[in-house]
Amino acid sequence: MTDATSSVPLSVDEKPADKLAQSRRSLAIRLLIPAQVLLVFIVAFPLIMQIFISLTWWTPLDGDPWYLAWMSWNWFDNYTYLMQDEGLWGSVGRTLLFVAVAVPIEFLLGLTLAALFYEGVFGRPVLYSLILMPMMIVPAVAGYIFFLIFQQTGPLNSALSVFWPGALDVNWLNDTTRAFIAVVIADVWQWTPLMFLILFAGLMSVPEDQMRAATILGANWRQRFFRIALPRIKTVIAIAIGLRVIECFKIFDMLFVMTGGGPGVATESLSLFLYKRTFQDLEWSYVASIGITVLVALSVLTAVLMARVKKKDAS
Amino acid sequence: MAEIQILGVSKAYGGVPALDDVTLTLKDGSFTSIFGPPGSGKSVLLRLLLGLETVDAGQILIDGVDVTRALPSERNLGMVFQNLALFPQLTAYENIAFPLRRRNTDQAEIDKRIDGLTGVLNIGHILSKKPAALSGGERQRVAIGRALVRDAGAYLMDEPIAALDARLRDDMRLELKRLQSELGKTFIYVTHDCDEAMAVADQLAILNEGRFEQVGRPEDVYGDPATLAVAELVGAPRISVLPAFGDSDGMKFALGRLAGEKAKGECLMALRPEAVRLTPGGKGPCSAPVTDIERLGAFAIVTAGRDGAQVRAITEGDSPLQLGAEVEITVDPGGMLLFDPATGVRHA
Amino acid sequence: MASVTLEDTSKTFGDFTAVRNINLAINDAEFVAILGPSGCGKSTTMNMIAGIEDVSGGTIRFDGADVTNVPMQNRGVGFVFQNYAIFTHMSVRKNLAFGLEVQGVQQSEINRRVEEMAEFMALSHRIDAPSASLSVNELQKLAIGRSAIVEPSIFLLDEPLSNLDAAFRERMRSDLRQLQRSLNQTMIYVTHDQIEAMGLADRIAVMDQATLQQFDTPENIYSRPENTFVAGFIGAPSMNLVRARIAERDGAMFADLAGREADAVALDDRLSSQARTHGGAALTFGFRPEHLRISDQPDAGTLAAQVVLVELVGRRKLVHFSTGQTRFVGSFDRTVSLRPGEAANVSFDLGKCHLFDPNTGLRLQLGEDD
Repeated sequence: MTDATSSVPLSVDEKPADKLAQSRRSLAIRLLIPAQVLLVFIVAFPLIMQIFISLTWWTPLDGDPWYLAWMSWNWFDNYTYLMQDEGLWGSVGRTLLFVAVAVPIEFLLGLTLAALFYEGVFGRPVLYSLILMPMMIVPAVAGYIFFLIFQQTGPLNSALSVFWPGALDVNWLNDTTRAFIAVVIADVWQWTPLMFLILFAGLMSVPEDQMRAATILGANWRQRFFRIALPRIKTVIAIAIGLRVIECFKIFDMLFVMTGGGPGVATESLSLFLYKRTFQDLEWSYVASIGITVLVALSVLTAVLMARVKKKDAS
Repeated sequence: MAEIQILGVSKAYGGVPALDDVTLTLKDGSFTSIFGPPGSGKSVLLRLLLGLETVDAGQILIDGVDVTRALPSERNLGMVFQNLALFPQLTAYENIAFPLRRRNTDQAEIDKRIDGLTGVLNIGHILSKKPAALSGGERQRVAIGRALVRDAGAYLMDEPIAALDARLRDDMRLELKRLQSELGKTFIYVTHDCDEAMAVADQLAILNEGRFEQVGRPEDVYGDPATLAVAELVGAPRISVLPAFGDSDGMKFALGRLAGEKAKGECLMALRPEAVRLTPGGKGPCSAPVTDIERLGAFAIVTAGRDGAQVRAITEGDSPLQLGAEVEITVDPGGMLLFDPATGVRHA
Repeated sequence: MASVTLEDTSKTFGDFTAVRNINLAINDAEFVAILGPSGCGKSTTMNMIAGIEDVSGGTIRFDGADVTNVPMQNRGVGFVFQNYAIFTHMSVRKNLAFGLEVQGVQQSEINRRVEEMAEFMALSHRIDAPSASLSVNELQKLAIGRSAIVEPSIFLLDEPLSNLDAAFRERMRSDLRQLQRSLNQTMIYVTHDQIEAMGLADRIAVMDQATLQQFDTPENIYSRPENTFVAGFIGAPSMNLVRARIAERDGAMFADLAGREADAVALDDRLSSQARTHGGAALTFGFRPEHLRISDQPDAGTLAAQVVLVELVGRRKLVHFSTGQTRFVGSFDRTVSLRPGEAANVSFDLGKCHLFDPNTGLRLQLGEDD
């Protein structure tokens, strides 16, 4: 059989030795330019601006426009400060704890749902839409819904008191531990559907013939799932988890609406911390430096994870 | 009008050579078959001819004009792909008309050209159907029609009938040959089926590991292979190859002695199955037990030998030979080909 | 080893009948090929035997036991898919071990049998390689080994050689033959390639348009086809089927193939009796290209024809003849010298020719052995 579909892409370094490659290249450039220009304005420019500000003491309280920030140049003082800021690291710790609790729960729930769906379950189309609904709700609105649910006199306590008399008195959002749990529950409710969606799509891509071959060889449902399906969707799992980790790390709207970071700072995530510093304390240059640090850290983490997954995939 | 010349063309992918200094001339109006095992470079050659990729070295000339650096659209070549690539949402008529519409040919001209082809291709009755409603053979003919409607200088075909049933393949082979002689255009036909390659071509080019091992008339390539590789590649069932030593008594090898060609010394002896005769009884100078019989109706492939030395022969379909029976092996003159064991080149 | 019986088995998909009341009795340790053009229902039939498809009607029995409603994981069959369905994320070793692992066989036993099978399929040198890196040829052997290692009583193969190109197929045919002989299993093999079916099977089940046309040994399918479909499907190039006017002259039966009474071919005793019993004025006369001969002299047994086209196809020469009214093909040794435009006298090996009813397509036969 011939492999007529394989074709070698023209690398950017190769000198286009002929008209065909040349015309391809010029077309490529012409198509990319609008997007590149947009990128410069929306991403590159603000990024450079942010890096610039993070190296100064500047705040809008100074009264000067931002491009004069060089007047209060301080090199890396902001960065050294952020290394010792207890408030910052506390919020980072809480955010990490949050991610470490919420994402695995979302993953396992999503995977279970995807597995059930894959093997076939009643009322698939209707159930599918129902499962996806939480994801469609604006996070702030979802946050507000849960705010109401978790009220001391709210529906959750009323429902629970049917089984546990006295539950009516449980205070969710004003207790440090229980507020954390409440927020985890809200996040899991909203984002498990996303995990389900991605994992289910991954499962659908498992070749049916291989599943059939496994069945004919005598494998039962569990063996098929864990030995054939799951190993084949490793990349998809990595993407789903990676996506959620990054998003979860940034959690803001739900927290803002449900607890405002409270009680105290019990549920103050990194984003909330930055929000308060930016809009309440107006420490813009400090916040800029934190932003850059987070960006670099997450990028490195993602790159490392992706490289590990790619290496595993290629072998 | 298109004589195509491929001169010293080479192409490598990532350091691995796919084609190595290949040269071939395709005369105007000829039907050339390029045959080779998978991975020999056949598709690469077609893509270079079309201009979908560029050569690393060498030249391609169409009618004396150097087109090595020209865009595909400037080369005026038609192509039939292996997977046909018909547009599923268009009728057969629209599929064939597609290349002409892109050139803004007027409707009258389109009608005229397609009319001219419908008779030859026998597709008049299916023009209004969509590909999904057509049989494999009909789709094939529509794909060929789409390539031919362009009135190109030459037509390239990449295994166009490989996916069809055996009977359909036989019919399509004939149709393509007839089409080519009616149109008088240059056809370049790539296939991995050696019988098919020989049946259709005026000129047969054997491509192996990026080089042309032999180019010539099919009967010459079959009867007079230049190298061992050609002898092994061309001919079904496979030719039997055994090391042998030639002297004044004939050819000595693992199963005995065969009267044969005059080459002296060590060589590789290749025996065409249709020339090998097996007679029951095991008394002659060359004999062995039957190790395998494959009865295929019209004929049977009988293998006889000991250990690693096995010889294949063609017999009648209802041959009475049995597994294990001792048979005497003889070879008709002309059925024995001798090759140099080091280079693979044929001894004269 | 197990016998397989299909009793009135059928399969419909809505309005479409894929398999129509098939009756097939396959013996223990027999190698049966199910042969037919694409769309004839052969793959569906095999899928029903494996349990991949449910049965719409009828029964399937293994060794007499009714397995019609037994789910596929419990049928104990081996199945080799057309595209092999190798677990590409596992090594060769793990692929081979899979069937044993899911059954809970002991690890040491698994290792032993995996190594044995790898040796048997000549894959030992690749045993720890990732299966995705195997060539098509090796994948095929792995697919067979993976199914064979659990020692199923019935082995099903769905067009396993269709992905390989012409040269490899020949080699794999002999490997498969050896495999079947050594495993001594009941093998059922689906293909559209009649050379494969002829070369491998003990018996061939020919199917067309959802029905079984003939179930017989390759020799009988070749030399005693039940109808024109089977006659035309087996043999490459296929049997010539020519309309003939039958007439009796001076006590002998003649078949006029060319529309020229004077040139009619005299039939032998066997064919004459068949023609007389049938009584029709027109019959289909069937003769295989490889059974044509060229005669020097025209006589009652020959037909005058013109050479229209000569094709050199490998070691054979295919010569297309025309009598003005009919066209047919002869297959000769490549050394024969015939040129387009020449006239020739074609003679028939009457003992190997057949007569078919022009309407039903059924072959005329007078007795069991005819």
